[in-house]
Amino acid sequence: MRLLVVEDEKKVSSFIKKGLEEEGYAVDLASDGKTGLQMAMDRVHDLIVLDINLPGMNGLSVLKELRRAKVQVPVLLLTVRANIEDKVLGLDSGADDYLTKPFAFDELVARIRALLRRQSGAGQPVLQVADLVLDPALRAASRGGRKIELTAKEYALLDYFMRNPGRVLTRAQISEHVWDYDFDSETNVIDVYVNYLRRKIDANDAGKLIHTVRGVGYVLKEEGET
Amino acid sequence: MIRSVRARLTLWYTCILTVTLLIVGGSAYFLLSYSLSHEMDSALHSVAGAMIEEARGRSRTFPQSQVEEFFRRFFGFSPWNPYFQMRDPAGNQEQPSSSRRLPLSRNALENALRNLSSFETVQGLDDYPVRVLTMPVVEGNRLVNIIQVGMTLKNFYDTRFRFLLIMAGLFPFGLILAGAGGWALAHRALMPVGKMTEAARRISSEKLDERLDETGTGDELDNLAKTLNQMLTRLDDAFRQVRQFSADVSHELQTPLTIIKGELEVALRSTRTPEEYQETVKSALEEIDRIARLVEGLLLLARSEAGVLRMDRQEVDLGQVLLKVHRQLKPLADARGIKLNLDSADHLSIRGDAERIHRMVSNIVDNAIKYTGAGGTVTLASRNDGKTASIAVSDTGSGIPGEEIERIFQPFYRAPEARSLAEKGTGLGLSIARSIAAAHHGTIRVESSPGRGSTFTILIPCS
Repeated sequence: MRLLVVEDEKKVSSFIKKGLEEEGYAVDLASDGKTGLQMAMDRVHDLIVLDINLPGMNGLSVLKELRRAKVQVPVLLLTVRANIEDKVLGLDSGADDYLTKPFAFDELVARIRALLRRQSGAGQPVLQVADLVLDPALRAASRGGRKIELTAKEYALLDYFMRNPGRVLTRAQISEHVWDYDFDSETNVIDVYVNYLRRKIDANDAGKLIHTVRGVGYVLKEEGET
Repeated sequence: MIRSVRARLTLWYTCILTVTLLIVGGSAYFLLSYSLSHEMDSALHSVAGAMIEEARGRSRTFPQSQVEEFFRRFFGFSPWNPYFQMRDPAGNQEQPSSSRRLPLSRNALENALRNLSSFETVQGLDDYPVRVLTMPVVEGNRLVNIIQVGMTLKNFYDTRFRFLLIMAGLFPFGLILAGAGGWALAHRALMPVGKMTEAARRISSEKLDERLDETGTGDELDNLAKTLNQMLTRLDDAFRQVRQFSADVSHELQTPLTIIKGELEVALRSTRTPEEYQETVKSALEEIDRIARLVEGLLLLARSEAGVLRMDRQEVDLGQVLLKVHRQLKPLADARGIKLNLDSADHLSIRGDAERIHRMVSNIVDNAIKYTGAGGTVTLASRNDGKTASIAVSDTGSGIPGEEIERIFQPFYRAPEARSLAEKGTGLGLSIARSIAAAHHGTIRVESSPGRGSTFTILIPCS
């Protein structure tokens, strides 16, 4: 899951990035409205956290511009303004949710999770492929009842696989959804992480779930499935 | 006592009308009496004159019917009892032509002897007093007779009484009518006031954008409505400024709070290395300093606006202040690649609060450094023309558009390009500088040409 945070206050954006990355999200930052809009137009993000009070172009204009361009990605607005009119204005401009500063970080994470869940269409809080279960709310994965400990990046990678079961995911797709703009796609970091993940999931001969598709990428599926 | 203007107006109106009616009525009564008695006297005079003519021509005696005829001729009617008497020069009665005798007073007799007529009002002859004319009859310088004619004042008194009666009847009626008219008039005149009161009651501090109806007639009430509307506009502006100020303050406070809360919460989400904890605590402290600076600045502004700023009053050497500010801000300017020049730091002293003056100068210089790009120059200079000490801070920055100059002193105003600067101040620097200048009875003047730079001049009267 790759998120875009548009926020001009450097310290605010940096703690949001840090916290969300630890949650397993890839996070890109934009410090003004115009940059934020350009980055959002790339349509690689699964969710945008947008501050209303931005230099250059304010958050609501960015939001309207995005919706006009038919970018349907969920947007969570951040603002210090908290009166009802502002909230209504924000939501009517196309925002999906609203959070008032200062906010509890747990709430931000929970709201992001809820928006992403709604976006994935399933609406189900728990993802499952064969006997592999992933609970985004708890950030916990288990296979056949056995708990699997994952690092943030491994979790993000597994989350992406679980949301696209049976689909062959190219390295480019994986880097786009799990890593941010700073990621250097020339390295073999993706292969390294896929191997970490494979070792944890496919251990104890429970059956192979992550398969390599030579020359293309990887796919998560039950063995025997075609 | 009487709360309603309408009732008071009516009362006043009625009182004034009462006095007017009394004066007019009194005058009319007086004039009527005067005119009636004058008419009576001249008629009596004519009767007597005619009778004297008659007496000269023919006889000295008049039958009752002829006397009545004379009265009818001059009074227009024949009285029930005309008084007439002919006397000899000694005053003795010659012809008792009237059933009632007219008395001859000593005064009238003496007048007659001196060839003068006299009018008298005699009581007791009738139910009413009688007006009597005593007139000498002179033939060839010799007093031959004294003729007396009299007329009862019954008609005179009756007319006067009827007049009073009519007045007494009309007076209360007129007053009631006037009072009612006054009441209605006051109601009509005050109706717009009532409407205005109603409208003013509707306009609360929450709905200051409403306005009173202006009739546009240019009358007093229209002027009042206009004046009130202007006042409402000023109030509205003031309220808006206060609201904007509160919103700005809350924004400025929320940002550091968001940072502290967010960073601490993120830090607590998992175990960190000591270095990471230190980093977080340091950052939180920075933000707390920012809040503290902001609160302190706001307090200073509030105090100086309320006029309760505590200040030292002692000799302050502006030259020393400039030197100190220059020394303190040089590293900052150097770090930004800006030349900070000190043109002249003459010894010039004013009375004031050294710490505050230092802060004012420092804020202005800091502001100049912030808005001047790398390679620019900021120059400090001081001057004293005997009456006013001035400190000029010139920069080669981007300048300020004319319409923005007044706004830069407002709290939390930031030039658009400054918002993207990496570090932000409290947004109160120039506001504080101005309030300190004001506390020293001074001003800060700004001259700026966009693209070339600005000069801030602090002017403080010398002690």
